[in-house]
Amino acid sequence: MKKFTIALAGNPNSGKTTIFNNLTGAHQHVGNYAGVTVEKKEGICNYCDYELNIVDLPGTYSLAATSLEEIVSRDFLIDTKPDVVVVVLDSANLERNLYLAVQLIEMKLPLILLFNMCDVSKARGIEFDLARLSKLLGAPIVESIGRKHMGMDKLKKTIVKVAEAQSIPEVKIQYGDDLEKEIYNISKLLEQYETNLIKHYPAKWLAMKLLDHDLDLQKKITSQEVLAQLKKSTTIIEENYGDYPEIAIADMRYGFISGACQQTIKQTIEKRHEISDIIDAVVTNRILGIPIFLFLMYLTFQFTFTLSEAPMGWLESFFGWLADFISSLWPANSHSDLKALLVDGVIGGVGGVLVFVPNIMLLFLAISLMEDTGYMSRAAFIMDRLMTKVGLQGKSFIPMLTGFGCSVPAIMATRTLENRKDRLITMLVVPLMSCSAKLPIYMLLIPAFFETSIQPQVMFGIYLLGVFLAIICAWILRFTIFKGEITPFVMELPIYRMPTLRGVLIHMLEKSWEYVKKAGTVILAISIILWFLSTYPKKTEFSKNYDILIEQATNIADKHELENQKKAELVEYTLASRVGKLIEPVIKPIGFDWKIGTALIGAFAAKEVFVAQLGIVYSEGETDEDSQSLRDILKQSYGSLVAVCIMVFCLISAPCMATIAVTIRESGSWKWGAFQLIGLTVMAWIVTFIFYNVGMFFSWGVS
Amino acid sequence: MYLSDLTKNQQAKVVRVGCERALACRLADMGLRKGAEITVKPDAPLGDPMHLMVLGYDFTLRKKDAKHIVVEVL
Ligand SMILES: Nc1nc2c(ncn2[C@@H]2O[C@H](COP(=O)(O)OP(=O)(O)OP(=O)(O)O)[C@@H](O)[C@H]2O)c(=O)[nH]1
Repeated sequence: MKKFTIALAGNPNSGKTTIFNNLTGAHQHVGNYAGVTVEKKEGICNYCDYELNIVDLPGTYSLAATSLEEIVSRDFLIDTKPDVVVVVLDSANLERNLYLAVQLIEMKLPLILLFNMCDVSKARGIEFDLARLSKLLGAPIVESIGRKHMGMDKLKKTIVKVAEAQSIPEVKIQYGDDLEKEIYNISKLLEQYETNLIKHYPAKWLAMKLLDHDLDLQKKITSQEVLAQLKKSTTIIEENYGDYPEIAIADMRYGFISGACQQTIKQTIEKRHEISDIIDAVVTNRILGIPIFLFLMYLTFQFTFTLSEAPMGWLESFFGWLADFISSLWPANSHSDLKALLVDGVIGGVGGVLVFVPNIMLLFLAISLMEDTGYMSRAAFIMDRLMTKVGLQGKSFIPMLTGFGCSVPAIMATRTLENRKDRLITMLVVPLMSCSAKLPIYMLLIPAFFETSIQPQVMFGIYLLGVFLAIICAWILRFTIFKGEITPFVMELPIYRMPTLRGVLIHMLEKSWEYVKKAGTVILAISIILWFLSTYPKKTEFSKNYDILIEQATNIADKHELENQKKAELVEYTLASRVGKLIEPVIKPIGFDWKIGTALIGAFAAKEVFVAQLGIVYSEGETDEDSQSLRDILKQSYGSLVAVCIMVFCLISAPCMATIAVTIRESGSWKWGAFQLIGLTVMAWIVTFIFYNVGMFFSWGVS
Repeated sequence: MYLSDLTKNQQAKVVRVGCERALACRLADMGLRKGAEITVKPDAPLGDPMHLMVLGYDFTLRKKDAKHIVVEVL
């Protein structure tokens, strides 16, 4: 069996992911490129006697090295030297798509041009003279319709042919006399002074890229002679051409493209994206645009919450059943630490998180639908003006919306922001979007302290407070640590498409998986640790001899009362409670006692743990957000002001461990993770302090 | 005439892109360069950014940045 490595390159929205899925089916895995957070998708495609290892490069418009994605793609192509590069092109939008192809022609790699979206280009009346176009561009052309699996056999056949022959495009892009001369001058010096570098990069290409203002490659040059020549050449071109050299080069590339296209493309009917234009006229309409946007957001949340209710109930019963089943493996009434660990620690912790999977999946389903139809980029377009007012930009909208589901995929979604400052600000404020893990806290407290009639308003108020604080924080960050201009908003608005079931499902599952992974790893570990903290050390000597007293008790109520007293003593003796007491002086000013403090330590690890932990300190045993007895106890112990303070504190304070971990990974530095952790916790304290003291002053909700 | 002055359905040819270097380069990569033909579509509901069409595809650009692009109305 012969093995080949095939790279898939292409513009965003060219259908690259669809083609990749068609070729590899289920045999794919997602990782990261070494050292950076750019996603690397790989998969195997077996064809005849060949094993094709397909690598999906990030979707980019260019290889200009202005973003991490572009640098990663370029380095992969140079370092790995794939046997074939398949460029996926949106054939209905050929000129701009060919711009990337031209840069691959410059790299002299064996190429195949895949004219995808043939159905769309046909419908628009575009006709290609493929034979001639293929000759002019120097690479074989294959037509395909990705979403209908059409053209895949031909593609595989061509891949094998090109890989065997290693045929490289023989065409030459003409850069014009001035540029050619300067490229030559620089490349001569490169051959002389940078012998190591040109073993890696072809001298001519490297010289052209240096003129193309590739700062990443420029950093690799050590020879002063080369740098001096580069400066000289740049000045000459700027004088002769009246523009930066990279713009001169872009002009030449587009010149080459339009030359090739003029001779070979005919548009028989003048028909543009009519349907898309009509939808845009409504959806981004001056008057209707915003109401439609708000309505769709409302629909998204309505849809997520109502439809997830039933499956969440099923999952809850399932975990209840599982806990009972595991308990039944031990003799009834026996006490075993292992049993307690499995039932209270593992199932209680991980199960409590997994219960939210339906909620998350539905939210991501809605988000994927908006992304795959093309509405999401319109939402960013509509929101941009408002977002820039607070120091963010339109594209930050998508991660923020995702944040209502789970911060982990939301922070990963900030990858679409190419500017580092924009990206960091968005990443840091995303946790203020109240994620679904904070929901059980609200669902426990709101019914306990508020009348049915105002419950929805309280809930809505909490969410709104989060959004409001996110805006304030973004604004502060933009004018302090991340001072600077907001980056230009150049974003493609792809035509509207009917989403495919498969595409939407894959999208949704990929995002939800992050959440499940978090439950299986971080939360599992933390649940176990927390369980130990709230179980040990074990008190052996009690203030009363409970065992005897319980046996002597005559009625059930007394017995129960004594059991609870015993549990309370046990709990108070444990490490968790001691830590809770230790931090009591710090949380006293915001209205919390050590019991809430102990639960907050749990919430520190993962928000979902708060409710369960509160149940443990109040010796209620198994609790969830529907636990009526816990609500009664809480109502006796605290006023509604404290309940509001708990919710406010949990909303703002340090996000869960998994979020911190992703922030560290995605920002590339533990400092930002620490900043987020400390910053949010301090802010939570301050805001809660204000709430508590204002409330106390007016004696609101103090009972 | 600057690109930012155009209103919906107007068509224009780019005379000069005077944006700062990184943006000018990025726009050139996207096909918005000297000589390119632009069609302006309705702005976002709040009046900014602009919705433009170049080379047959649509993209966004803020008015602030469009101010530096000199065009000639067709
Ligand atoms: N009409 C038509 N639609 C297609 C074709 N191939 C893919 N699509 C659709 O085009 C949209 C974008 O496809 P993707 O595969 O997600 O594109 P991509 O290039 O990976 O885009 P990014 O994920 O944004 O980088 C999806 O809605 C696909 O269903 C095709 O040949 N014809």
